[in-house]
Amino acid sequence: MGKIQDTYKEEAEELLTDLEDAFLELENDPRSEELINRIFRAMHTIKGSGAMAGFDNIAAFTHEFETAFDRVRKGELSVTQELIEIGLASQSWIAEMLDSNDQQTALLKEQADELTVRLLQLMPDSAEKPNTEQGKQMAPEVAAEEHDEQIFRIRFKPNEDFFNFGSKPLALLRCLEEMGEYNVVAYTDALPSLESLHPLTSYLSWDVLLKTQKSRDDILDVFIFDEDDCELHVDVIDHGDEQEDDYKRIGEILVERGDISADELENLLPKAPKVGEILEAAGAVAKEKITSALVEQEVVKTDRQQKQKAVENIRVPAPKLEMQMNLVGELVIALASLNRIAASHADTQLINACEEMNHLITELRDNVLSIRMMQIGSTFSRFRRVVRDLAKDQGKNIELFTHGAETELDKTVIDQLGDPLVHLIRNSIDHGIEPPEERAEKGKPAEGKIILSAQHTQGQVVIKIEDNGRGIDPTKIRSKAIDKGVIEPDADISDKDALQLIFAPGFSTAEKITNISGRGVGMDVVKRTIEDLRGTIELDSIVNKGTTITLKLPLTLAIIEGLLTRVGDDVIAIPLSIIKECVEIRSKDLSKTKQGYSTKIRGTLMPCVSLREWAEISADKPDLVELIIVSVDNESFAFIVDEIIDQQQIVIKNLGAVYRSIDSISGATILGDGSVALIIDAFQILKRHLKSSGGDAAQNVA
Amino acid sequence: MSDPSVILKEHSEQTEIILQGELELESAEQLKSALVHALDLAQPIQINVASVEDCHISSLQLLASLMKHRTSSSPLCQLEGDSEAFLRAVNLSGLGHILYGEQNEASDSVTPIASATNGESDG
Repeated sequence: MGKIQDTYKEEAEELLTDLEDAFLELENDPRSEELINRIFRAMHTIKGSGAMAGFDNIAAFTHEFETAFDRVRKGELSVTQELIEIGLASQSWIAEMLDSNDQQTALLKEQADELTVRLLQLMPDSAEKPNTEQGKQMAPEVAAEEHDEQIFRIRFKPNEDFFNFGSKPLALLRCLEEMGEYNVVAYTDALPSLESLHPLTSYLSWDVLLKTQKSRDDILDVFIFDEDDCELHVDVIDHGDEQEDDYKRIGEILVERGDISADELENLLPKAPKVGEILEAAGAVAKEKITSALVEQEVVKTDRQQKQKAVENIRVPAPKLEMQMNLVGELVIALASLNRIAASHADTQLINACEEMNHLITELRDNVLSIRMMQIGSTFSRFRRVVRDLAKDQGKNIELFTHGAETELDKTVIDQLGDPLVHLIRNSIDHGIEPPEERAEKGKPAEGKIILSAQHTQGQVVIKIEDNGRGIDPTKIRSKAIDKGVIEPDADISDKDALQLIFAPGFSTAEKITNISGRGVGMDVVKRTIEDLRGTIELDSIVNKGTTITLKLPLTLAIIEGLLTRVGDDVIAIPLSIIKECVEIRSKDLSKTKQGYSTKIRGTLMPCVSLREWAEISADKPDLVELIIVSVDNESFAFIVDEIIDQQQIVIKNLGAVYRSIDSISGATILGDGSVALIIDAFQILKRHLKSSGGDAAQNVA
Repeated sequence: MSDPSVILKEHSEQTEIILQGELELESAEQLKSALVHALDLAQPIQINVASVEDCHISSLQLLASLMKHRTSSSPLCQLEGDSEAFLRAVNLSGLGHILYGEQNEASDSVTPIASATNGESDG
């Protein structure tokens, strides 16, 4: 697949998401002109760009829908449930078509015909047969909204490597030519002599004057796949409503085009009276017209500035961001090495330079991380359709509420989060929310609710999926777990722990297997995926009240601020985001009971975990130890370490497959001297500690 | 094997370059070699485009470079037997005045701006 096709797929996927949202919103607000226009525009772009990118099937298919929504816009066709159903089915069809192979394409074509026939039945005065040929021929300009005739200046300068991407300037110029009255001038200034000319390099650029009824957007659509590889300016230079003799002067045009600055022009014509003054004095042009021209110049200038702002957003391929992140990671490691050398030489100038570097690299790191941050809303929006369709299939009334769609997460995390969330939401629909009659018997409102929310807390993102369905009965889970051999019959586990058994491999409580869930292969995969993202998953449920699943995920998987500590000869890193404070105490002030270590900090008893014992390090204990007080899951406790080494950025490296089962280590990092330090997973250590000490709080973190 | 899109023929008094079929991006390398070789022969160059079915801009810019940078001592270069596809490409590209000279533009309905703006008022 070529670059154009890839770009089209990317663009189309975004448009399809928007289209789906618009259809779902239209269902609740069928008279919204804004939504109808949004659907029309999305269909129009999918069709037009599809034709240009060689997706003729999609172009032909979408043409009928665009026509239908054009009629809706004109008030000739009403928005009905059937129209929305067909629209959503079409959206799915296009999405499948984008990824289909030849075999699937044949089947999809049949589906397309069925959908088109259904659509045409809604438009009784339309042709009975799908007009696929018409759609095939669609270029982006065809069937576009017609405007009053305007003259556009299109300044098109391909980058030198333009040809390398398979782009063809003449094809673009041909599209423009087909849009109206076309005049072109080629700029050949950059064209070298034949001997120096590289045949695969682009040297030419063009100004096209196009008199057309098409809109600026229609013109930009022509360049939709090439706009990143060229300089492109599309400006209206004549709106078509001026007087015949009210055209711009050469000087104005040249200034307007940026070919000469106004100052340069003034300098070259130092003694001449201003043209406007001559014309005004001669009575050739009225003063108002000169004023109008000046206003026009100002409007065009402002308009250009705004357009300039609009192109400040650029599309960057994800692998480039990955590469950028990796390089920043390497830079952080190299800086740690440099810091170590500087410290060992006790050279103030070198140390100061390193500090400056440290600030800059921290800024660079934060900047790169922020580029990778995406709003989770794009993932949330997928679920509206899932909930709608599945609820309908099962005859349930379910409404999805979302909160915190603007919450940002690293792209890598978001990419991998979609499937687990789909599974959890499907479970809520299938097993959680009861059918209306069952809800009525329980005195619940007929409409079930699923609430999907996200928020930042303590350097993490917490995502919750809550429903007000039938909940999960821990007794039933326990019994099922015994039947399946997951736990021993005499196992003494709390209700909270019993609920977590749902994440065990092969565990399913569904009494009948549906095509949605209940195969028992999902929840363990969900848990593993979340844990692979260095996150946690918890389940709370109250019978007949509902279920809440809480996911806690790190903001990023790449680089964090960490505190390097020493225990014996080993260096252990603790994420700075969970650290509340550090306190130095004498070893003898630590008390040890069967529940573990503890000490009093400002009169409050603080449970402590010895990282020496956790890591089974046998070196001598120092007289003075450091307590690293952390807050995890609303619990405060302290890690006991020998010494604090430094605070620094740490690049998280995954442990190999062999060590992945060690749940209390979340990764490792490379230090400045090339040695490796483990990064602890405080949540897992606390969980393990509370379990082994039999603490009541264990119930809260199990 | 498909026919080559660039054919160089050395005659006793002139060099002929025949362009034919679809002149894709890849054809530009061959065309450059042919043009450079023809220039070395230092005799009139006739470029026959009668059988061109499609033309990438890379070939046109080579021809434009040849025409643009010619000097009084350069061999005479001339385009012959224009095909409809070639003329269309020339007119779309706005290179007619360079490839055919200011007074002898490619015969088509498209008017290059360069000529349309001649004689405009200054200011």
